[in-house]
Amino acid sequence: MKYEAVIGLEVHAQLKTKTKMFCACPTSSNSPPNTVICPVCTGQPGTLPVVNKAAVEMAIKTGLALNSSIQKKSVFARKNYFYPDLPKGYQISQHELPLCLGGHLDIPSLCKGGSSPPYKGGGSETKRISIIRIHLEEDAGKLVHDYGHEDMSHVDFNRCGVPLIEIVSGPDMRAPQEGGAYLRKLRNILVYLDVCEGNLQEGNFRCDANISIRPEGQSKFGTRTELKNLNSFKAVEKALAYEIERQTKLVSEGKQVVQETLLWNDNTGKTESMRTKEEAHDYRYFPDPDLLPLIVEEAWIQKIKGGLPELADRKATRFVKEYGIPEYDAAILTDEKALANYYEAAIAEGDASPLKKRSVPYFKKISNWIMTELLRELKNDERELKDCPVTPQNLASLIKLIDDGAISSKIAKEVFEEMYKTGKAPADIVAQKGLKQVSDEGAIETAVDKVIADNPKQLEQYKSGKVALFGFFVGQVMKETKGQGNPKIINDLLKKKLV
Amino acid sequence: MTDTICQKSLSSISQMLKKGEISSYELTRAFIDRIEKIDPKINSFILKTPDLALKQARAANDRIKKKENLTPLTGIPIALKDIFITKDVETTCGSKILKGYIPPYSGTAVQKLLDAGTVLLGKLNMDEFAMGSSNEHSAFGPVKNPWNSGFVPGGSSGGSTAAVAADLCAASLGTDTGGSVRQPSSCCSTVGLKPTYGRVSRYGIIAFASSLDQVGPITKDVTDSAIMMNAIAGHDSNDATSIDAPVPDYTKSLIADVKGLTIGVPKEYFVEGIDSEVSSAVRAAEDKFKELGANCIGISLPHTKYAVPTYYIIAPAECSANLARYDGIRFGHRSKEWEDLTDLYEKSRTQGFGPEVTLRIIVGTYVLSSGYYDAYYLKAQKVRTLIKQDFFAAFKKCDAILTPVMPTPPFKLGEKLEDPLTMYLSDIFTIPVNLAGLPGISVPCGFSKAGLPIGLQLIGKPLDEQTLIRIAFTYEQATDWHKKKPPL
Amino acid sequence: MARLARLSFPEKELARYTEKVTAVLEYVKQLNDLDTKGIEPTSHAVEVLGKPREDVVCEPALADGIISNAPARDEMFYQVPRVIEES
Repeated sequence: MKYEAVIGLEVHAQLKTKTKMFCACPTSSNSPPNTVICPVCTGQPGTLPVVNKAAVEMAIKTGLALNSSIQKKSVFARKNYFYPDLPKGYQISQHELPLCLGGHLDIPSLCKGGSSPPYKGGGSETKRISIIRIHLEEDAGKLVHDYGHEDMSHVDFNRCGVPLIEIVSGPDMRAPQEGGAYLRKLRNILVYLDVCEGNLQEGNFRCDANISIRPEGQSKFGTRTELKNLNSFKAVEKALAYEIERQTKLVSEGKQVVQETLLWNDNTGKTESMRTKEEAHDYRYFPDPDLLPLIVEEAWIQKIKGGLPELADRKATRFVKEYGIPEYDAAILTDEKALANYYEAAIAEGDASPLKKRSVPYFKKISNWIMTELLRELKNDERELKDCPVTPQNLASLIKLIDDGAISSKIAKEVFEEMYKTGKAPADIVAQKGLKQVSDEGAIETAVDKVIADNPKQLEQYKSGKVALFGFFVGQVMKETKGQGNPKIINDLLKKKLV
Repeated sequence: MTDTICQKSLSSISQMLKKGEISSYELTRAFIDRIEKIDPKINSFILKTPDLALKQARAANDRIKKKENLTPLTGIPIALKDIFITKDVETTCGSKILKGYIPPYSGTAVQKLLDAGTVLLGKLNMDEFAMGSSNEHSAFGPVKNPWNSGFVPGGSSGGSTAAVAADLCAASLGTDTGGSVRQPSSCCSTVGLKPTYGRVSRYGIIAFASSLDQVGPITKDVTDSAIMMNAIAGHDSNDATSIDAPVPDYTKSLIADVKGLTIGVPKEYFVEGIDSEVSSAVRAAEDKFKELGANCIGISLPHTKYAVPTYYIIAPAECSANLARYDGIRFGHRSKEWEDLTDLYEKSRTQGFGPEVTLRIIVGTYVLSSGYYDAYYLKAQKVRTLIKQDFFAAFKKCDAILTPVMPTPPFKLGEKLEDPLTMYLSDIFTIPVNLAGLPGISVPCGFSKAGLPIGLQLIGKPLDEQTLIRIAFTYEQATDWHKKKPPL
Repeated sequence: MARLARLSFPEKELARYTEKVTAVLEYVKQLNDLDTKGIEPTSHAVEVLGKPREDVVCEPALADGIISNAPARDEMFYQVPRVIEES
């Protein structure tokens, strides 16, 4: 019997507003415990919530980018349960009437046998993952263990009240890799919109998974389990894979899958039952009387729509069209908005003439330099693009130097390394180190003559058919010109003189 | 200074202060002494704050001397129901679970009064978490009616009305969720006004039922009520349910003229079961209004009898969520022994809450629980709409509605404690007003043969406190119930 | 219900409370006499539109006052019985 997996993902994303969802405390993290708090977010008696307009705007942006229908009227509801990190004894969320309904996001179609794409093979084959709803809610505080007395846990409310959006996908994914692709794409969109930092490890982008299996061809859903504690994209895929296998084994042995919440243990590579008592959660949702229904006027939605940034997909398509670079390159360059901006800044800097006069090779050169040299240096250094010492303007100048023949591409690599180390402009480095390419034919000819005269044996061997020695002569001339000889001129002269 | 000064109205004291005839310090001293003497008989104070009061009084003296930003309330000694969050002053809400809680902030209404220059004499006794109609459900002992200590002062703002009636403060603030300002006012012969829902900020009052709670002044006469309203009404950006509408000068409504006004009298409020002394007192008031030139007509509010059951679904539901924060984690009572987290919650809450609060939390939890939400909570919300519609239809024909406040005169201490339902029915005339979000005022209109006060209620259109004040003032000027003092 | 509300009742009190709760619930059932088909529920007493807040920071200045009410604390943390959960 063949089984297929049915996977749905729930993402909670912290919004990058300046203040919390229902009070004016700043949302900055990394403050000493219980210092970024006020009477409202600690649930002091007598306090009341007031909605953060910017949070609503970010949620609408997200809904628009995910093709959701923004609801004119949505209602905040109280989700009632007791937990130390929940000061009011209820979380203000949205239940029956969320802000956004429906929507979808397209992921690249699954490549067979590979690990998660994201962009290998590119291609226009995509799979549409539906989105059921997006709603606003507030984050809870943080429980800290392994501090102080070992019989006690500790609570820090700094995070309590930070705005969250919850994005619920449809049960449309069929493989762990699709789950990974969905998450990566969703994260990419949220970062592009500048509504979320998108960092799983830091906890501002969290994912829970719902997964069940059923015999292939059956439409009825099997019993599902909920997976939590998924702290990286890899963990998500590994956990899903493990759980699919676990459930498949159970069912094929004739046993039942128990509906429960499981924690993923990255160390053991297994899902585990939560040790706390599984209590029936009756959240007793009801509309929060302290908050009036949220009315979003069409005019506001249109205004937000008009201000949406160009998202990765559209940008990549545009790069291919405008700059003639391959899809694969465009995908990498647009993965992070900052990188795409860097690329376009370098292009803009490079040539003052209007776009259509600039050439595809030029655009491709810049994209190559970024993809190979720049990204490699940043990776080795574990640095973020925003901390990159090489400005787009300087990169463009470097390429101009090569194009003008002032330096060879080999020397350019050295110059780039120095640019990255010091942040200096390429022209300055070239001048300082005297690396300017020698293109003086006369000077090179002198060097060529000298090398030929100094190496009679190799000359003999070359003339008798060992054509591979051409490279030897090129190398020697390069050495003679301290690496600054213009390779083309060297080549031409040697060809002339070695006959 | 003898304490006869304490018996004067807020407006007269205010005049005397401005004219320099007395100082706020002397005045405050007089109140402090009177409280020491009289409060043991009625137990209206949970916390007395004489040192703070004298400090504030000195500051008020200075301010009056310098004529700095003077308001009618500058230098006036008041006391607040212990449901009002007062910075650095212990606030218990009448409950053991908040004993020792020192708030880090002051609520909006409180801050407005402080800014106006009032002097805080202390925090007043109340039914625990505002749940009650007799002030017998306090963790700090029952309050006794100043008119007769064997009787209840009403609730839940019983401490406030008793204190004002006994002249232990110039005025007070209470809160009204199902009648808690109007009903005890009727029992103690004070003026109690519940404004339109949203007229006064709820930020800084400990929440009981959020869609019903409202702050209201408790005063010796209608003039004082208007002065207090001027100080506390207005939009507050900290309260998303507060109304953004301009605040009129309520003292301009202190006009003794009701000619041309139509007052509706609903037949459903005079059904059998209502005490004859109450109905005759209110009918006499109706005659008075006719005498004064108002047009009194009969009206019908057909869904009246469903108001109490509707309330006893909605209020407990909201309170069960509002009281979830009392868990022993961040403030308040925490059980000394516990086995685990769940046990800590249970023990702390069970030890901290009294029986009436416990009962309502359980009822509220039940009506919100899955499977019952539609049949109870949602149904009640729909009936609430019907009740609102009754009023709006009636207001097409009249400017205000006249009703009794309570179906009986004040009852004896202990009389209604056994059966919660009997107690709930004492709010039968006040509850509909909260459900509809309308303003309502209770004004003294007589006494029972046993010497206990009876009040009348006037209900107004949304944001039309002015008409209520005008009608109430006219009645007050034509009678002298408000001049009587309890035999203390 | 008691567990959901985090309240406990000793044996002898349980019966008394059950009786009272049942009485209240029975009493409120009379609402079912009314036909409310097509009636909108009133979940909010005010008919006006709320005003969301602008995203402007108000520096937290009351933290000390807030945590000073903690029944159990360890320096700047609130202390609670150990909770086992995901990290």
